[in-house]
Amino acid sequence: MQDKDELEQFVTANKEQFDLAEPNDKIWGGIANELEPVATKKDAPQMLWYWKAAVVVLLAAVTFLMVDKFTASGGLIEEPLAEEMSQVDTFKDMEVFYTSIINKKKERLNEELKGQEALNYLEADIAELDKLYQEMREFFLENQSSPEVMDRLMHLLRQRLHLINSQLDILEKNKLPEEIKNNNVELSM
Amino acid sequence: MNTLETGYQNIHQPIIDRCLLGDRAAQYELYKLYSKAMYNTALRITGNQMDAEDVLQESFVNAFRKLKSYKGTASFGSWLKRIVVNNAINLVNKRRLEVEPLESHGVEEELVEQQNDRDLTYDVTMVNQGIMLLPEGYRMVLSLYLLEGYDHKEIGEVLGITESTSKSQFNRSKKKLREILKEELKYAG
Repeated sequence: MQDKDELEQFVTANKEQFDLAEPNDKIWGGIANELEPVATKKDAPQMLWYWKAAVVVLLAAVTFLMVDKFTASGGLIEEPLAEEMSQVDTFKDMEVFYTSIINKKKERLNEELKGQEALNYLEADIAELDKLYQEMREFFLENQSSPEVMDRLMHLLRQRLHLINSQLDILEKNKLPEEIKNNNVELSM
Repeated sequence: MNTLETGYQNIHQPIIDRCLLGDRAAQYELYKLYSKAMYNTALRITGNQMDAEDVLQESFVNAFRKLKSYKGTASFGSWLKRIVVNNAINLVNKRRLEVEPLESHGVEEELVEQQNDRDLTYDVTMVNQGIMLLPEGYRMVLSLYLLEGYDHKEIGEVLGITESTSKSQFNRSKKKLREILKEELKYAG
């Protein structure tokens, strides 16, 4: 057999040093996910109740505001006043701001949830919240451009953002080892 | 399962035993211990970062799922490396590995091989870069032989080529690597 030449000798003598590249930190998350594919299901019932409570509160708020306005106006729908128009402009600016953040977060959430059927209910609930928001928005733009209604609308947008963020937090947490999730083990290398 | 009855005494056996019980923190410890070396092995075979990351993830998932089949007859690292190498080769095969046909048997090539080491001074970073610039078939044979510790018979088996083809490919790959290094030195001044 041929003797090792200098190139071979150099490589075999320095073998360990050839491991120069570092793997991406996210790989462990993928491994943990695959080893526990049903992890998110544990959190599903808790999230479902949270969503249901949020929807009930928002429905109550919308109903209250609509009835309150109708009663105060003696059953008549008023035309928006001139000063209310500035509320509309402010609202539109805020709406653009929140909607852009929500859309970005939703994109990220969709990426994270790819192939996880357990969380299909999330889309349905987001759609329900969107519907509520659209009804209230219409009411605000056409009938009552008051600061109170605008605050409610902003609250709805923030609520949506908060719920998406909570789901993303849960997904991030699920990628960690069980002990880190419970904060009771410090990993040693 | 506790310490293995026969075979290789693995220094990480206590961690492996905990992994067998499904301990996620232990799995993470094992991942941290071996991920860098395995990632570099996958990177040298696949030749690109994204594929190497996929291979690393798939291999650790396979290893944790099949950990019971690790009998301790070799080190855990070499058992894991077999999984990584097989997964990496499978992935490359999907991209249609084309090993160059053997045109002539080795003697004259080997004579040509030995000549030109004197005018080259080797450096790990440069040689590593040179390896990554080799054509796929050359890179795989050279890496498996010089860095992953496979002999030509084993390379023949994993790549589905004959032992003599592996030897021939190896000699050609060294020749090509020297040419690349000379080019690199020329441009490095």
